Formats: sequence, structure tokens, C-alpha cells
Amino acid sequence: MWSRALGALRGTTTTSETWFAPVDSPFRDKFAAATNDGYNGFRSWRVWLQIGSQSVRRQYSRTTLGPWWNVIQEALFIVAVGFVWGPLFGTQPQGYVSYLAVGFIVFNLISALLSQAASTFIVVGGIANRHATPLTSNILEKIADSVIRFLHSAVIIIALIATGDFHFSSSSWVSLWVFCLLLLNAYLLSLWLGPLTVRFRDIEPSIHAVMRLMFFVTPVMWVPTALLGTSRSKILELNPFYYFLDGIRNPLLGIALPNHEFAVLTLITLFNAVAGITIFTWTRSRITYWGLQ
Amino acid sequence: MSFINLNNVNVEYQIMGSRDLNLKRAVIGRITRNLPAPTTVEALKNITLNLAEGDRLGIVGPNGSGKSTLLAVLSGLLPPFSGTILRQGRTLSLLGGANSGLEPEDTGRQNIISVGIRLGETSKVMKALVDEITDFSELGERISHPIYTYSSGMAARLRFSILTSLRPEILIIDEGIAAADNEFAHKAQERLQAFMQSAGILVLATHNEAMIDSFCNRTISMLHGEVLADRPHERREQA
Repeated sequence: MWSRALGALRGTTTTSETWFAPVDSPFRDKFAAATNDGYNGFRSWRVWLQIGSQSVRRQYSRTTLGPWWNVIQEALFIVAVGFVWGPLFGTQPQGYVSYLAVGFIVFNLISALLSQAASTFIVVGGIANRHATPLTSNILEKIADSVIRFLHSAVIIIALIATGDFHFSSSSWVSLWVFCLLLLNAYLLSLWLGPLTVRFRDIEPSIHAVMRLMFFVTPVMWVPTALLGTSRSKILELNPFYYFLDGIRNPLLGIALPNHEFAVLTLITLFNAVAGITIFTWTRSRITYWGLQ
Repeated sequence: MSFINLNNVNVEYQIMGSRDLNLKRAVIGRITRNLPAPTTVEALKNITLNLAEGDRLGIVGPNGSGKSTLLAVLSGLLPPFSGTILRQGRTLSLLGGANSGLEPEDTGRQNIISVGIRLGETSKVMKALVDEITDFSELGERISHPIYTYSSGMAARLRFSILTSLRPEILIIDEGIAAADNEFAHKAQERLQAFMQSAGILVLATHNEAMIDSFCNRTISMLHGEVLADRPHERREQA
């Protein structure tokens, strides 16, 4: 199995760029084909970078401000919650606006990555609209799309550095590390959630239904200390969003990340890796059939 | 050396209604071993087909006989259900309706670049090809207009021009230039003739017998997903 996979990596067992194992072939053949797909997906970086940036542009086609509309919307939200709505909660911790801004922007990234993962393999308009590109290149396209949007929003964070709420030190690099881990998880999650959502079409709307709820149970507008130690702390402990959000936000604000949060992030990544590789290998040849609509 | 070898290829489409797509039913059905099989359509049955350099294959057959499915399998877009496929050579395919694979909101020029990148070219190479493609497709200034303003003939001309300017080794066409006008069809034929001079493989599915006559040296006729006949075809140059 491994020698076949290695052969696939070097491109020696395949004669064409995208290569499908027949639906009825054994797991080891499918594994070799899936590995090859993953390798070719990363190699076709021109495709997914270009398509990703185009899809951002296209969503705002015929507008003057383009993706900056999204930034304006986020900025308005932060201003409204931070200055108008926030004080209703009572006393605010120092640096609340920066805390809220980073949290809200990162939350939007996480939620975009999740909903894109769910719609990765749905091809609108039939087979002829597909190109003979690796399936994993679709995943990378969607991630590129989300990251480009995020980079626009990051302007808000940069502007807020002037408030002095941010504490940069050598441990701030942890943010970047968790950010990369988030992208890796988005990739691995798409490998298993993507095929499942095209096969079972009820999954995608159910994810959208839960997303709204997630916004309120994830500490974006409130601080986790309000909940920790109470009977409702399970809401935080069982919420995977929380670990990624905290891991990216807190090091920027000068708060160290506890060790158990690293452990949880590693466990989530391991789970996604195992589920992603297995389910993608199993379903890869079926995805095109399921995804046509 | 380009070739395509299909060996015992089967393709089965499952017609999935919302009942078949229901997760609860799938889980319970699997546990109780009472999962009704979804309705299936056998689109290709035991197709064995070897194409070598110099083959100009015409595929004929009534609607629903499996022509388009066979083209999708030959192009590498659709995995077979069972059987094996070996393919070598840069394969480009012109399938689907007039503007399949084009982005309607983008201009013709933007589409030239993005389609090219999807097909493995760099944007530098594609930018260098823009003028040639614009010329050949006779789109003139319309190349900087969005695709949704194009007629289907114009979109077909653009797609044909992009694909053939990329020098494929295997070219697969599904009624590709049917929407174009006579004058362009003539030009397209000349370009296909030139492509055929440099060996390569051409696969063409069409109801147009004149096209088969002028391009193909081999035809297969299909019915209900099976190849009924596979025979050499004498090419007849058209006046």
C-alpha cells in the first residue's frame, strides 16, 4: 500500500494528472489515487490562488468597494457592540474593543472556513463545468477565498494597534502558529465533511442552523472568565471554536495560552486528519457523481 | 505518445431523490439491513476501447445512448464505476453547453486567462495568447465584455479558440461548434485539420454526418450504453 502511495506521489503509477480509482476498487488503490490527488492539489497552487481571489472579486462584482464592503460591515458591528451595546453588559474589561474586534474577525474566518468546507464538492451546472483539476484543489480554492477575505478584515486589527491594547512579544508568534493550524484543520475537515455534505444534503443546512448559535456560545462578545468555574463551563469546554479563537486572539493581547488548550487543538487536528484521510479515500470516486446537480 | 485505453468500463448513475439522500434513513437502513437500493441508470456497459495516435473517432448514437458520459470518462472528468482507464497525453475537452466552464460575470479576456490557468498554463502564457485567441474567435472588442452579453455562438467560438490554442494531444469535442455560424465552422474545421496533421487523438460526438465524414477515420455507434459497432470510416473531404 505504501509503495503504491509513494509511487503515486512521484507520479509513476499514473498516466494522467487527475486519476480516479474505479468506484469498486479496493481501499489501497483508492488510497494511492487520493494521495496523488492531494499532491497534485498542492502543486496546482496557481489554480487555487487565482480561482480563490476571483471568487472574492466575483461575489462583489459590479460594486465599487468590492470586498471592502465586508470590512465595513464588520467595522460597523464592532463599533456598535463595542461602544453602544457593550456598556449595557455593565463594566467592561480594559481593551474590550480590541478583544471584540479580533474575536469577531477570527470568528468570521472560522465560520467561513466551516461553511465553505461543507459546500466544497457541490458542482453547479453539471459535469461539463468541472475541469480536470484535482478534487483537493477545490478545497484549497475555498480556503484561499476565506483567507483573502480575512486579510482584508485584518486591516481593522492593524488599525486598532494604535489603541495600545495589543502586547506583542515572542509568545505572540503562537497566534500565527494556531492560525496555520486552523487552516490545516479547515483542509482536513473539508476532506471528510465535504463528501458527507454532497451525499447527505441535509447536513449543509443543519450546519448553517448551528452557526448562528455558535456565535452566541463562543466568547466573541463576552469573556470566558464569566463562565469558567460555573456549571455552564461545559459550553466552552466542548466548543472547538473556542480553542482556535482563544489560541489566535489571546497571544496577541498578551495572554498566555494554557497547556491543555494546546492538547485539545492537537487532538482536534488528529481527529480531522484520520477522519479526513479515511473518508476522502473512501468516497473520492463517488464525489463527482454525488456532487452533480 | 498519446493513447487512451478503456477496459471493461462501466458507469452507473444513481438517481437520488431526497429519500435516498436522507442521513437518518441511510443509518437506520444500514443497521437494520433494510436499505432500498436507489434507482440506477446504466450509462455505460462494459466499454472496451483503445485509441492510439492518429485515431479520429466519431461517436454516433441517439440521445441518451451514453455518448456524453463516454466523453466525460475519456476526458478524465468522471471516474468509472468499474473497469480501468489508462490515458496519456494532454487532454482537453469541449463538453456541455455553449458557455460551460466560462464565468458569466467575467470578460472574455479574463476567462481566457482563468480557463488557461485551470488547464495548467501560467497567466503569463495565457496573456501572450490573448491576441491570437481574440483574433481566431473573431470577437474583436467584445473580448473585453462580460460573457453573459455573448450569444451562445460567440461563447462557443471563444471556448473552441482557447482550447485549440493550447495545443492538446487529445481533443474531445461534444457537438462543440454546433452553435457557431457557418463561416466560423469552416475556420474551425481548418484548425482541426491542422491539429490532425500533427497526429494526436480526436474524439467527436455529433449528430452531424458531414462532420463525421470530414474528420473521422473511425466511428463507433452507441445504443443504451453499449458499443454496437466499431469500424473504420473513410474520410470524405467536403467541397
